[in-house]
Amino acid sequence: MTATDRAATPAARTRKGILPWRIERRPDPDRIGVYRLVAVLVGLAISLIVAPILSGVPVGDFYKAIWTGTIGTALGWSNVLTIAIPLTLAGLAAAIPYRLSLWNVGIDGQMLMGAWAATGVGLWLPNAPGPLLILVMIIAGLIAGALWIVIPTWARVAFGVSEVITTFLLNFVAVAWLVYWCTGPWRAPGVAGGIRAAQVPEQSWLPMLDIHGAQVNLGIVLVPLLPVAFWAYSRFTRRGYEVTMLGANPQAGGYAGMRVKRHLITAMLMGGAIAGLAGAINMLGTSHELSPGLTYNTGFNGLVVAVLAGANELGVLALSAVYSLLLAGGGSLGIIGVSSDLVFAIIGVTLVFGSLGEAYARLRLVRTTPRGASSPTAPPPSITPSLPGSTESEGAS
Amino acid sequence: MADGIVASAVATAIGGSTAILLAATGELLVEKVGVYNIALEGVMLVGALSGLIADVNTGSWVIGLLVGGLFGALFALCFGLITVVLRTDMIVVGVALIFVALGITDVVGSKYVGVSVPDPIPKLPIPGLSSLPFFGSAIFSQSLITYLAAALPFGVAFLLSRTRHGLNMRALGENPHAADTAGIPVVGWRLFYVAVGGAFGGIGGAVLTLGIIGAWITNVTAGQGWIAFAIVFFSGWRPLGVLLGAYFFGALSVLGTVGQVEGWDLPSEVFTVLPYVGTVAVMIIRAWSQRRRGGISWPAALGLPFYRG
Repeated sequence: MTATDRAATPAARTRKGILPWRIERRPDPDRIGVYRLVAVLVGLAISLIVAPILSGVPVGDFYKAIWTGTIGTALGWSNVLTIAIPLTLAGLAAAIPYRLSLWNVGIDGQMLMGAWAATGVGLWLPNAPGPLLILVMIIAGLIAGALWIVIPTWARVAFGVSEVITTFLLNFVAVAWLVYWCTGPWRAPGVAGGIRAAQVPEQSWLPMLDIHGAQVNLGIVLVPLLPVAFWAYSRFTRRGYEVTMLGANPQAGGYAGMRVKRHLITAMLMGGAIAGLAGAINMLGTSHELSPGLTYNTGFNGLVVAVLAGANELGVLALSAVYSLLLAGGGSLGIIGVSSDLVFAIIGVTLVFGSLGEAYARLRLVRTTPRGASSPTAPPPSITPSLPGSTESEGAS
Repeated sequence: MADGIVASAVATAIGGSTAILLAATGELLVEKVGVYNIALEGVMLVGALSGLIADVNTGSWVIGLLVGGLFGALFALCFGLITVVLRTDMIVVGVALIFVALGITDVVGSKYVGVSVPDPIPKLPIPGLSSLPFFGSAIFSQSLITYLAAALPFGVAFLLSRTRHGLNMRALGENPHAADTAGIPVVGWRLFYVAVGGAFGGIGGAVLTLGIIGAWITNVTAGQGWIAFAIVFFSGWRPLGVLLGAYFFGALSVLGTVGQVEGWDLPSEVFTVLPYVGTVAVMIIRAWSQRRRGGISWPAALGLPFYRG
């Protein structure tokens, strides 16, 4: 797609519209990330005030449920930490492609495929020693997650097919694939409890840690580890630097001789692999069995985290913590009879607010009809530098 | 070969793709003026629930469809104000609004789960045509809205390629700066068509709850908005391609029923995934053939924010 960001015409225009203002770009947008985060927090506060009214329950009960479901009790803490594991990984799975303006909207599907592959290994080798089995299951999850994004990646790189749609639609395919295995070859003995596969061998269950009374599986060590590792990689290595450059300015990267396609492919496959890891870890650490509902929109939440973090790995870590609190609190609303899906609306609102904050940082209102236009002088010329290769020139290709 | 089964499958395929056809035709209008509304799935959800609530309270499917369209338009207008006016990222805001729609419709709709629709959309057999042999009754015994939805792409094709206004619309999507210079209000018309597309998406959603499915279930659309979005891509931004794409999707969705009756030895999940796999495959094939012909068919300014000067 051709960039239509034209070079700015220095001549001021005095054309009148319906409104006495028009919106134009600030010449020097600054601290976009700060504005975005402040806006997110404002959105969160507004949502948390409006939500109990919308759901029609006593306001006190609403906040009490959230308090006990999150930081008020040891069980709440366990929930928060357990949710943080797949959410942080899903955030990375979205952030790594997003650095290159690629969208991984299929994280839920990749997570399911990762959990599927891990389950397959577990059921195939029921007598393998625990640590070895866990290792093989996790590797299988990584590979399966990466394979699940191969077709969207290929279609995008070779033909320019929008990865937004293809990655998303494959989520439905992954769900159907799991329904087949959970109701067919791997069906759990006994019928109760919906669609789910047999449990994986007990020696492959991730050990539980006790952190000041909160119970959480061993996967929690990945939560600080992986974001910091990826951050260090992109900060201190040549390839990481190339990706950062490429993300900031794709055309310049190509002119500088970088292998753009290869970076795009690596980022997508890496995103898929981490999503697969998230799925495998989630299955091994919590349910110990495969089911099509395993992810519960974690992939989408991860996408939100990645976008709001501006694809920064440490930002993903921090925002995952915030959203884990929110999700755990939302999950506890079921006790007082409020659908826990309410939390998706809140997450959506915060994302909208994040966009508004970014818009505030980037744009300004300019009067088109100067007040009391007595002097014939035109308003000062607005020289907005064109931003070649900024994310704004990235269309649906 | 059980002809009755095939005929009823054809009827279901045509009727069942009505929601997608409406939503995709609306989305085509939106994309022609240079905007893509990824929140279409959310628009359909909002339309589906508000249409059902209106039908339950008034007992009229016509009011249900109109209310569904109205709320779909309002919801899409939120998307338009945030993206078109404030020049934010359409994908981010679209995904966010899908979340909002999913959460709010689930909370509000929990009271309406299991409520039966008092006045579902009636079937309207066309006298004469519906008694034709073979597929006559399958094709010509649909609801009024299905006929209208099938006619809609032809109307849109006429609008886009035969009228002055259609030319202006295409200019908005191809070269908004030229349109602006010619005095066409870019932001205004883009907002207008985002709302129009939202109205069609909302009516499509209401067709789901009032006709095709006939009840409210949480996340009743189950990806139909995304498929409608994808259909616009693989139609090559042509109205009649949208029509074909929607019926192609409808045909894929009923293959499972046909297969069960005919006794094909395949797991039912194969048929569940056919519409999704089919959509992905057709998108790739289309892009591949376009690449070979060297033509780019999408509106050149699609998805790009418009800044004057």
